[in-house]
Amino acid sequence: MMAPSLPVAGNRDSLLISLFFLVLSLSLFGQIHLWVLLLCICAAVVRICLYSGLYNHMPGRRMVNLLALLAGVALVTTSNNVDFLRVMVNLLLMASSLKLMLLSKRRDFFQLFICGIFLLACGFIFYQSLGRTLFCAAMFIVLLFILFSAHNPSAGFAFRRNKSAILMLQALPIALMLFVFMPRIPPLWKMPEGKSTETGLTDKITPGDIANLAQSEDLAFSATFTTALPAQQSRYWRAMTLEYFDGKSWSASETRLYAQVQLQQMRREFYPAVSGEALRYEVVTEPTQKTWLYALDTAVPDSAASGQALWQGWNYQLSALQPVYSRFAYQVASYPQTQRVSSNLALDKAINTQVPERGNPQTREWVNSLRQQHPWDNDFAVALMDYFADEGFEYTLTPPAMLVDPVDRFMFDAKVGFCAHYASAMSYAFRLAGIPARVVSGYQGGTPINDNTINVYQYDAHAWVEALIDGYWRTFDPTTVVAPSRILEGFEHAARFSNEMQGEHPLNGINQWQVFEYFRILNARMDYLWNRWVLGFDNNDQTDVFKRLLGDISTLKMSILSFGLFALTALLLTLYFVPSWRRKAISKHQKRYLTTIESIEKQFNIRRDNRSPRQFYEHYKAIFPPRLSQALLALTQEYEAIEYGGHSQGVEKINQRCRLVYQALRDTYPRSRC
Amino acid sequence: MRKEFKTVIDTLSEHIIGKPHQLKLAVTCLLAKGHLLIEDLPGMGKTTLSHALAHVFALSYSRIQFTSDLLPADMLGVNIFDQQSHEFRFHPGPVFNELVLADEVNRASPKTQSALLEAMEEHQVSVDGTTYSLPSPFFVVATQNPSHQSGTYPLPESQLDRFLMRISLGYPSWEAEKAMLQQPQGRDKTPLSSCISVESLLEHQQAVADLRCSDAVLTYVLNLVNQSREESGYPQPLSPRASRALLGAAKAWAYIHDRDYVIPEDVQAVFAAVAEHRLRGHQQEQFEESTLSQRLLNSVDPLAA
Repeated sequence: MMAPSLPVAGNRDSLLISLFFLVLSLSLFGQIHLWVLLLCICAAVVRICLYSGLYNHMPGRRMVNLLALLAGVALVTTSNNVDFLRVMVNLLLMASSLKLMLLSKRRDFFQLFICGIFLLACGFIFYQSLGRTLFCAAMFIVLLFILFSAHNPSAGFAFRRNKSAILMLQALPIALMLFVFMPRIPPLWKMPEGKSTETGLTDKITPGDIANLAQSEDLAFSATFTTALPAQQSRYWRAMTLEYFDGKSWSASETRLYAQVQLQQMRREFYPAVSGEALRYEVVTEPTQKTWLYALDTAVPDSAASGQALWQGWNYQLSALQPVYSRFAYQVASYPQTQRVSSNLALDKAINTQVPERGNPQTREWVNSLRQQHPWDNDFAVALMDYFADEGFEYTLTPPAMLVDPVDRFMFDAKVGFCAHYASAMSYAFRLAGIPARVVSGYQGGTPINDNTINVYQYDAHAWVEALIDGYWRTFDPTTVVAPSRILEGFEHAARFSNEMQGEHPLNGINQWQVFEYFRILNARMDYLWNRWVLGFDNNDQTDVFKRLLGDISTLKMSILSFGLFALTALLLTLYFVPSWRRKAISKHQKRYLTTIESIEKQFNIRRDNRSPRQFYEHYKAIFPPRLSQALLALTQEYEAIEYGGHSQGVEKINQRCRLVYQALRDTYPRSRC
Repeated sequence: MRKEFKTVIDTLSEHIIGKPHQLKLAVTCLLAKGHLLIEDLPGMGKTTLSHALAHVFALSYSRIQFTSDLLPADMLGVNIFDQQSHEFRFHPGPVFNELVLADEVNRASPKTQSALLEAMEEHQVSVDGTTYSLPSPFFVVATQNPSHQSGTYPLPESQLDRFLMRISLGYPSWEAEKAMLQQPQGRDKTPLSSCISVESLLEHQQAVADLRCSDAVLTYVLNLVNQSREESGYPQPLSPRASRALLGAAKAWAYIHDRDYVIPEDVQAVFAAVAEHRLRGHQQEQFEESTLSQRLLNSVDPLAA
């Protein structure tokens, strides 16, 4: 059979679907290889040329095959450091582009349609925002329209609209049901770990890192309080406690990690003694691929589920048991008035007074003299803060590079820097003076989007100092004395009034108009709701839904429910398909005839291909042995008489003729299994 | 094949040598009460065929040569004032015959063309407010030159649709042409004897109309026309008139082959003649190797429900 082909030039649908793929690949910019994008653009250009009649020759099959081979090689060589999913998305997009160049048959068109839907869904691996969802929904509708227009070119807009609407409405209940009830089983539901992380904080602070971070407007997490919001200047969200200093960078201490593992194995957990009033809130974090979590000091898990998923570090750092690969929600209670005791005085002291043996001679000397003036730890701390306040330090996001003896350079030459510089220098000074101190990195501030929710963005990243004085860990933030506005009014505010940020920061200037401010907050609010109720809809929420439906949860009920759901889905699908099945119902004698023909087809490796019974017989009778030929002729005549002549002998006679055909087949080819 | 029609075809074949399939289609068209359009280059035997048909079926015959200055009145007839009776008397034109040959129909102006087509559809003509019935059977054989020839007004799609079939004779084979050349020259030939009387032709036509047609064949016809409407690549999908024509022609084909029911092969046999001119319209160019009707046939399974 010759497959009907689409006329190539002037076919609007093939142009539309290639434009669809172009937009789709552009929307994945940054996630796919540049050359795959180029390939896609090439395919679109080819289509546009064919459509406009600029060029009338389709790329040949040979050429595209060669291109496919080259692209395959390119994919293998460029995918060394890319995770598996991304490679697969690239592969699919590459294949679609090549198919686009060859698109001439209806079957190609439907394959592309399926690929398009699949790629749209793959986009969610990289972006999950509300805007992206709306974009995908719009693209999906466009794709449906293209499908209908390819199916029925003469149909008008209204027909396509109605058909698409019907399809969407049919799919909606099933989609909703799957979303709400489908169990999120971890190995299936987890994204593979990406090799490159794109989160803000890193587990190592080298002054210089946070400058780049501050440019990022991405959401880090949002917190919803059930109690009153804490004040801006007291919102220090601890993410990591960094206790090892190598002279340049601060990172987690190996000793600490080793000790934690030991304690974990001994099942000794740390329960901080908390006191005072509690702030209760729920945090929804963006995926970080890391285990650290965010909380105000001093935090303890506030629900049974969170208690199981969270782990309280002996350095007051809260972590998740699994790396956070998808949005993760947890409930905590913070007790800001708590005095943080050292969990293990000897260990804390040993870890937190470590400094590199040499380096930064100027600072060492200066600390020695200062320490002699202020033998009391408290006085020393005050003196340090005073030094930052009085010596003309400035806050800047673009400090000069400090490569050799960075603390010396910062303290005595440059005197400009941002939070990481100050925190690093101060902790170092504390340690030189013999006072245990460490750098805490996390976020400071955040933007309230309504009465009880705070969104914290990557540009809120911050670092401060924790020193062990008189047996308690006390927080010092040298940045406050240098740039009070950074702490009091948030990063945005500080950035706006910092001269060097003019014209650089995307938020600059826009906020001056109230309308924009309003929309920004609205957008943040929508984003929060989206994150909380759609993306963050996890096992816990699911369990809640089950509880509301079933009362308490038992295995029996759960299995009945899941079985019922599958049955319901199957039933719904059946209901959709029954009408088309019913229309396609065929008579018994036709079925019998067709199965017989199928056996012959298999035996001789031939195909009926839209031939009528008579044509099938005439076309192939030469290759059949005489006996089969006769039997088939008899069957064909009988079938014609019944199907077209209305003779009512029915199935019995057809059966008889079919048996004869089978006999003839068996006699000729004894080993065949008919 | 039914005996009487075998004789008809054999007789016709004496004059039109080597074209049995086209002859069969022409007879089928006549039995299905449809009109025939023969499209071919000059000198291929269009006129001879229609002439032979009239003789074989013993039909009264007239020939109208269509030219650009032919007026409807020339064809339909005029009211003439009779000096003796002092009244107007209708003088019927050449269209009042059982078989009318409209030669080179696409050379006439659209006005004249449409007058003929009205007669074809209604089987009656109106002149000066009086309606005159045309004889029965009434059968128009129109011939036309391919429209790229100079001096032609191509028939619009709506008028093409009125012709049940369009056939073209094409060049004869080597042997056929040789046999033709060996025959005595043109008009000196022995005149054709009539094989079927007008009365029995009418009976046959009635029998064709009453022929049985199973659901399976109706489904096949519907699948074919729907495919042309839903699939892209058919500039002019088949109309309901086309599906009725297709069924009628298939019945006549089955009847000629002495079957009292229609099978898909009957539909397929007449499909190209019935559907191609409707699908293609007056765009005569053929880019592809296969014709539109062939493509359509290939894409529909006769056994599909």
